Amino acid sequence: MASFYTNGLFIFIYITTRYFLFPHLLKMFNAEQMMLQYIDVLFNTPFISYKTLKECILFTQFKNNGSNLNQMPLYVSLFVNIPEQLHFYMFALIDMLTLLYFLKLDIPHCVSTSLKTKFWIYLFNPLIFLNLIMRTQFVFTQFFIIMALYYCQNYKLNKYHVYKASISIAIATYLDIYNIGLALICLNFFKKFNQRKQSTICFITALTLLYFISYRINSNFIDNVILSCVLFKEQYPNIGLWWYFFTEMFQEYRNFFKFVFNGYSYIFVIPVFLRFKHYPLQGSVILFTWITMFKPYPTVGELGFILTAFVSWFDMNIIENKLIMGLLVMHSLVLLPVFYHLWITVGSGNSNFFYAMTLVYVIGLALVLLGMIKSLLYNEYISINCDDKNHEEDKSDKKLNLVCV
Amino acid sequence: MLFENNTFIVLLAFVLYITISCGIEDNTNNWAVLVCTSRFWFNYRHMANTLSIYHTVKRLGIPDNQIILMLADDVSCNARNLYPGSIFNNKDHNIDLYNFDNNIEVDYKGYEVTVDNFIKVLTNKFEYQTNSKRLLTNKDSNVFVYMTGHGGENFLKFQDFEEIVSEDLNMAFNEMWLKERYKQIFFMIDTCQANTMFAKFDAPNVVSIGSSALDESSYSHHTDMDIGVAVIDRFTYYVLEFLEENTKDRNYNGTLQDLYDYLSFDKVHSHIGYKIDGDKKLQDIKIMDFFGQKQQIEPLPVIDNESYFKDLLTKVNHTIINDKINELKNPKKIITNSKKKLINAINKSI
Amino acid sequence: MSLLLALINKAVESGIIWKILRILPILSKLLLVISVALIFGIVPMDGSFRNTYISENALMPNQAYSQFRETEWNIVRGFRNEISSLNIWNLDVRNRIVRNWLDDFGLETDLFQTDFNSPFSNGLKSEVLYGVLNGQRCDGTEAMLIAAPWYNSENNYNVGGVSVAVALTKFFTNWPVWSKNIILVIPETPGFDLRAWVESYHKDLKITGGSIETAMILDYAMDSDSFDHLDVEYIGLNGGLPNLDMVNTAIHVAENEGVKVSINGMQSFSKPSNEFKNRLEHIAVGLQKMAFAGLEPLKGHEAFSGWRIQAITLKAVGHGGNSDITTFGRIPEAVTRSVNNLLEKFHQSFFFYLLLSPKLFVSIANYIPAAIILSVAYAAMAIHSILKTGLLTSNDKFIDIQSIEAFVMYAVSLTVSILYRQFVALIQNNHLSTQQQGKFILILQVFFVFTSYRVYVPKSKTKALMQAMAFMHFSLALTLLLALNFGLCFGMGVLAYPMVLAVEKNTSKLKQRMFLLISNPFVAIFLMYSFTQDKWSWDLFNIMISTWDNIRCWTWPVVSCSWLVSWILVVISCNGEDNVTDEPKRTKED
Repeated sequence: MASFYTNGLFIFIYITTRYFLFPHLLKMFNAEQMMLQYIDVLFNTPFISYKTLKECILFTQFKNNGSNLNQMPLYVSLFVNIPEQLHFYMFALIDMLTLLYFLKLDIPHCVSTSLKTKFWIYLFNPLIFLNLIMRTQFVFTQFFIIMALYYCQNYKLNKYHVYKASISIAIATYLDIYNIGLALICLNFFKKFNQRKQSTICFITALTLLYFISYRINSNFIDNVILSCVLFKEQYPNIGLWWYFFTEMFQEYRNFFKFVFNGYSYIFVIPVFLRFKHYPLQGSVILFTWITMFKPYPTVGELGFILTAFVSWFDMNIIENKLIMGLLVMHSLVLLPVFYHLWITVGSGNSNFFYAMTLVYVIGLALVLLGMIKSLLYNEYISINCDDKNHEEDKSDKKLNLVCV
Repeated sequence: MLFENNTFIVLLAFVLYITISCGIEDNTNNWAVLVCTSRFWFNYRHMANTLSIYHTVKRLGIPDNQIILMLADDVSCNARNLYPGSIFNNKDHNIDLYNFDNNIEVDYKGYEVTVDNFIKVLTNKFEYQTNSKRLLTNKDSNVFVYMTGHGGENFLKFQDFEEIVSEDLNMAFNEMWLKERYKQIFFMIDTCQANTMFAKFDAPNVVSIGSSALDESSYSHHTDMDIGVAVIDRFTYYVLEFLEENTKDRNYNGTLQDLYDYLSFDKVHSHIGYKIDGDKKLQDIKIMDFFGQKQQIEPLPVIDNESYFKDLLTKVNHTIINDKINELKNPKKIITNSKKKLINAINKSI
Repeated sequence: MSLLLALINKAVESGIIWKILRILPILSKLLLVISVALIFGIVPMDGSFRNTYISENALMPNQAYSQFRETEWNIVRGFRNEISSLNIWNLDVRNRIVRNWLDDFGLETDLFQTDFNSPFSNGLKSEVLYGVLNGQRCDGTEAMLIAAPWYNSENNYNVGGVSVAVALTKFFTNWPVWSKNIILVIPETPGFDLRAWVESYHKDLKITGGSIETAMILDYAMDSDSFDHLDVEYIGLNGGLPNLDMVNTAIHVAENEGVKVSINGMQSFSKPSNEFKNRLEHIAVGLQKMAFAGLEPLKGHEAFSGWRIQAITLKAVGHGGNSDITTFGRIPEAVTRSVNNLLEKFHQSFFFYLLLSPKLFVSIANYIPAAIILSVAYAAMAIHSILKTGLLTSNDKFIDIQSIEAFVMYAVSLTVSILYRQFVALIQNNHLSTQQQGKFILILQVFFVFTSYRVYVPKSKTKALMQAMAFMHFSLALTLLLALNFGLCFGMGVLAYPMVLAVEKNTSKLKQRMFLLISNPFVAIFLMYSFTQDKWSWDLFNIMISTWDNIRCWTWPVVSCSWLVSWILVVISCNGEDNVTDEPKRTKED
């Protein structure tokens, strides 16, 4: 493992290929514009897309009051003073840091993949790579979530790790309000009540501070970003489940449905917190999957993170329907842009095709979620009821069975 | 002899009974509500239907201020109209419905033709509205309601984004009866599956004629190959033919039964239906009761001035004040349960 | 849920899943046979198709009397005389003379210069004449288009088409009934220049008339006064079809005028149209045109694909017949008058259909199962290959040198395919003619099949993994193409099937090589295309690339990014001896 890390040539190749060669190739073939046209609906929403970021930067430079900026002010101010050519490298830097933290995130028991495998999985995950190319905000959110999980996992190493964990999860919540459930799950990492108290206080302080600073920068952000996201004010078709309902609903029922749909997103926070208190890492991924299924504006970047976490942190041998899961997700990801193109650009299809594919995608996600929960429950049962001898045997043959009927 | 006497007495009793029971005094004014519920170029014929009936009704004597005409009116000045500013109902272009006598008054135009406005016109429940757009009928008015457009089972499509169901229309008529806003209503409807629209009517003194039965379509009569659209529907065409042939002078005594017999299946290509409340018959209702001004004036016996004027006030001139005085003098009986329920239902639906 | 679990448990216990897994190759072949039988057997049968009808009530075709008759007789012939005498002049002279006429009618005219600088288009430069007639009483937000190229797709001088178009436009200027603008376009050919004009119209053209709703291309490339029958072509690029209402209106109008109608060049009116064979031929020709759209010389309506424009081509065929040239003019007049009645865009009728005759059609629900079954057939082979790797039943590590090899080969194959044209340009001599280039490509494929085993022989696990990836890739590509371009999807699925036959065990080396050769994309498309065109089309490769460059026809990217990838992987995986058994071992308790 040490040789793997210090293999400078290897790292150099990795960095140049992923961050320099591929973007350059894409620019050469003018593929970026085509990609934007066809897979925009998968990766971009009004709140995380790069186009919105550019718009916000422009408005900030002209000292606009910001009456309809859809990005968090601190995120925008991070990019304001940097010239546009270097934006991509900021995302690249964050991506590399994410990889580092991800590799260091070890699971104490029931390791099912080795370090190398995790590296390759992260590297070759096309969804994470495309997320980087499209420069969405999710690159940052993902980084802060993984950093938080790392610090939570290793809070015993250093007394400041508790605070670092809380701050990073506070930043992740700041960037996307639906991650607040993860903050609760992170408390499960800490065994002592004192640490939990510290962590909560730090989290609340950090979040309040962030909101306060944002308020000073741009006082409309609560309405434009948070409320627009939660109350579904920007009615765009995306790969979520919400928009289709609101195209056909009468005015009087909308508030009720918004309330119910939001409830769906938050309803599993406390159950996951209570049930999976010995497995907070996997629990947070489960909660993240649930949230992404029922968010108003989900993206496929989140699926990238979920699949990476799924393969790395869960025991895949137990799950039996990996083939169907994989096929459903792959086919829905292939057909979603096709039907969007047929509907919007060519005009032959209509919104029903696209929404049907969205439903297939959500079913795929649901199967992934069920697989996660099953794997976790089986592991819990085995770890409670089996004695140590069996446990040792399990650890000896680490294998990864990705496909199993 | 005895037998003959008996029959004579029976006959006399019968005649007396009839004259007493059919104690419908003659109406004093006629109103018309003509509604065309479609818009767009390819519904030219509905516009032509309504305007033809409008002209007939005007010709037979109902003045403009007693006609409520609801029309989308987007056809005559449409870019697709080869004869801009004109609407024809026949390919010989004999009558230009839009320019006839240079005056047609459309009360509800364009997007004002809505279910809301229609029901408000019938029940006079406006918050603010000018008098020219209200149906200011009273309990001696006969109202002729004509509707045309696209319909279906129990509903009628209003302007592409709304519908009116037969129950709503029935409720409106019942409300009109309770508020004593009509003496008789003649409801004529020319759409597909028109008879379903009045199948559920139960308001008193409403007679309805519709152009087609359930699961039947109403057909257009002919296409004008110049303009490129069908210009009139069969049902309305034959109704107009009947009225034009028979009512050249206004002393026509024919009944609705004659009209009904005239509109045969061979002509209209669909089954005409009618509905009349109670056990009245079509042949008891004269057509000219609904069209045109009242011609007969009843001379009253003049006894002496004071009682003459008192009689005049009470008998002939049914003003509202007199009605109220009468009410106070002879309070009406308590209304029955069913009517109460009906009012409650209407109030709740407001 | 428990019922489902009970069922699954029962299925697993009875071993039915393993039985299915064992016969997956047979299942795959069966699915292919079912798919072909569905399209060529079930769909033309009585009961699967319906009569065509006009969905949009507002269209009302033929309710207005067509007036393009005796008054216009001499005018059409006058224009025709003038235009036939213009044959000897260059394009710019012709355009200027006609532009003068159009200016006299009152159209706003302009000349659009097209410019192509792709190496495959030989520096095409052209000029397109167009004019916009603003409707007198309309609001000018929409337009109906009539086009008449100077030379039609067969390179004949389109004297009748241009004269009818010009006379029709003059006729239209006298009518005040237009609710949309009318645009007249006269390009040199109905191919690249018309498409460049349409693209420029939607970007920055000088004179525009609103969004184009419909387009009709008039093709009457004969000097005779009368024609035999009318051919309606409607299949556009990239699987885009006009709304069925538009096609139905044109056919309805034509039949009302007493003109015999055929579609896609098939003269079926002379045979009784309720014959099974007739319908089958129509389906075959329809699928072929959908798959090869863009490779054949463009007829004109393909230039409008992708911009929500309902475009058809009306082509008069046959010297001497019953119908007159003014009859030919009445058809676009009646269609224009019909489309004029519309207020909304075409949305009522079908966008996905197959026409079995001018008056019979099937909608997508009847024919899409065939493509889905094809995709499943390849996915089944992919599962079979995964089983062959032995990953499921043995305790091998997943990431070992063999699987890394497989992934690397996949990546290499992807790169080579995506960059194939650059790859070929590297190794060929640039002075070859297009035909020789085409032959070179085919020889390259043969060379690759027969000599790749000398370069690299994979091990058994790598082989199976590569096959799995190839078939999965192809299956996903077919799924992607399902709704977009059914003809291409079906054609690819059927023509590439010998790949599957090649990877089976117990096939001799020679047979394997033959299967691989005929399932090569270029060889297969070349053979199929030559068969349909009745001549050897050696320059197919060039045509495919130039259509991608110039008119954005997606056949080349699709073929290179999906079929070629799978094919290369399968060829490499067939190198060497096949020494692993196919049967998945039952060593695990299920």
